[in-house]
Amino acid sequence: MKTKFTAALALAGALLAGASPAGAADVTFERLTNPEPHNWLMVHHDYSAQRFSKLDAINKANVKGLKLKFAVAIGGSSPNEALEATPLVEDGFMYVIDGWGTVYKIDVRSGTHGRILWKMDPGQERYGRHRGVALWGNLVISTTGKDGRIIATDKETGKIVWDKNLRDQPEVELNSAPLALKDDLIVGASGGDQGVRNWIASLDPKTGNVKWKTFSVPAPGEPGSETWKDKNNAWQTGGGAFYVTGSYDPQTNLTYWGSGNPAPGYDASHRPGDNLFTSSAIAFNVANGKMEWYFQYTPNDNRDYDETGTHILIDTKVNGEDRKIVTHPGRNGFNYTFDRVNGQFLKAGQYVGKVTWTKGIDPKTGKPVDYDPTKDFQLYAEPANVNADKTTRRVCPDQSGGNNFWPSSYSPKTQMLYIPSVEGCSDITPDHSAHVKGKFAGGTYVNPDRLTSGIVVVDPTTGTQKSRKDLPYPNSAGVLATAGGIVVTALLDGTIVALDDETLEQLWTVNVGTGFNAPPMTYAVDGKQYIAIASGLWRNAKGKLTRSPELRTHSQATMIWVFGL
Amino acid sequence: MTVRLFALAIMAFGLLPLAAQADDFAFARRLYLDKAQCSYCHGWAADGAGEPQSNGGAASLRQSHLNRDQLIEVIMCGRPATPMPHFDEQAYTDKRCYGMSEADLGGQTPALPPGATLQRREVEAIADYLLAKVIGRGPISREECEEMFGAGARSCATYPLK
Repeated sequence: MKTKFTAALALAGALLAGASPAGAADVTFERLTNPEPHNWLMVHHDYSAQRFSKLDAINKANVKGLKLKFAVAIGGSSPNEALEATPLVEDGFMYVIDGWGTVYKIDVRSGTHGRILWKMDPGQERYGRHRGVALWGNLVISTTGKDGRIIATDKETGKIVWDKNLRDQPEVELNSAPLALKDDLIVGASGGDQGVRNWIASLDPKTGNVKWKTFSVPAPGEPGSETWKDKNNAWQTGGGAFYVTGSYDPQTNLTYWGSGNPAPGYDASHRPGDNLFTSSAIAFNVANGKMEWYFQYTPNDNRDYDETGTHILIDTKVNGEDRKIVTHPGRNGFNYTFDRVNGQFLKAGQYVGKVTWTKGIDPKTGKPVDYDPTKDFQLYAEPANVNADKTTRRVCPDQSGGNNFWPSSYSPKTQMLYIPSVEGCSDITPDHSAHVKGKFAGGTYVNPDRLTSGIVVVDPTTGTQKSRKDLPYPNSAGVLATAGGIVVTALLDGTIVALDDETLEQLWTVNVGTGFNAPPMTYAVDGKQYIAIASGLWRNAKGKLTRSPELRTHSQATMIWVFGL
Repeated sequence: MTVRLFALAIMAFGLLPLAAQADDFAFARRLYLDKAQCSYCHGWAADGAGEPQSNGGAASLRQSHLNRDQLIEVIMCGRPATPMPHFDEQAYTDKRCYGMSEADLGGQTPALPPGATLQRREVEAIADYLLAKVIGRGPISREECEEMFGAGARSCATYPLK
């Protein structure tokens, strides 16, 4: 018995791939802090949200031989389904969530097929967007979109262990993957554009009980409330969503989240002032939920330039000095870098091809050069009245960014950031009546021209763009970088590409005929490396192809695709 | 036994018209929510409260002044220079819509819907549903929400009963 146990341990040490379901290990804080290279245990791979894998079995030399190994159909119970989640893999078992909040455990150990072991259907009433689940102990933690519930499911049996309702406002939505820490599950609320006052909360992973809850928009009298200068209680519906999971530094116990735009999104007249703490980077103390520091990217935004995308943690040198930095590809078209301990602004640089809303970022303050703190409404530099109706204004980048929920990757190997950047513009028409319950956008937008994308290589320590690879369709998927020297991404038209992480030369590509708005990930079983990605476009992503008429008959299928050598 | 069966048959027969009545708009609701995804922009209750990531600015159909023919025309043809798409697959390939083609409208041409296009009989079903159950209905009630999402739906609990 003891010998068998030791042998099992040795095997685990070598590469824990064939673990039997009964013996599956708990996902401990230690494992989450130092994830095994063959596993992908949290939505952004690691606490620093680098989305970089140390696996190198698939590499520059052999990636041209990458082939489809198997695929698994997900959902299929209703029309117009979509997948936005990053699958997790622990020791040969994959966990993924669909738009009904249904969690799937899939046995991928064989490498030849994926077998669904259980499904946990939470009975979510309306279809939604879900970006992933979390693993903690023997639990899979999932969200239920507009149902506003968080559910813990037993990893082995698929049975619900606890189910907590956090729906404090009718339109609140939970779609980012929870962030599992030592004794905390950090959950970000969204739905901000519908007039929700959003928040981040910590739950006790054992019970689901709320330990603390911090709103992104302050109540009157609280710090930051002076930046809501209206007389119509705009703070109650102020937005500031958290729809992308944050990062975490175990050394300081700070978690870094980007907040969404103020609401109504396209009409600032309802909410004069800078509207703290919307469109900001925020460092929360996990012990008590207090903000340790914040930086607001675009004060008084009215282009939907929220900044909820990943905030990536890197230990590196800036100007020759050792710094612990946090870097963020902004929806507004610039990449920003800060000292993550004290929040000091360090660098910013443009990564999208075209920016019209500002003349640039002040290298000292990090604010747009045309920001005027004495004004209640920020005009910045956008050209006014581009269309005949006098109210429509063209802004670049597109209102969806730049970059958004489709995450970048940082490679410690090249020390470069790989940003999936959408290139294009939108015509925004404000509507001063659209700030009532049920109609809260504050206006409308259209994309006047075709949208494309690029993989942009940025040095986060200087903010400078090193190189870029232009791609023909928009990106809503994200990037995976690996120690094998490849950079993998996918496009709305169903194309997956693998690029050389130094030359950006295209090494491999395939088109599967259904679009991607979920990030690629990688894992290994028995030493064999695989690359997996979920397909099926959400309605919003389909809309980004409106000006690509050759795709007007493009259809969608919700699948997990798994590639290997 | 025979008598009881006969009585049951009569009861079932008597119930049929009622059941059919209650189901009159199930087809249109399915089109509205799923096939055409009108709800993505207009909201499930057609009050203009669509998904936050939609283009925004969709009309509240509850206050619509359009008649049946106009509703059908707007659904088939979309609205030029707005995000309202055309559900007639062939719209603007000729002059069937507002007497204009894509060549006349250029960048103002309504887009194809990101989901499915519709047949005329489906568009008529949606228009009839809007006229019967949505236009002029007043504030959203729990009753209306449960017509859409089924009795006892948690998400309907925030609306007043009637």
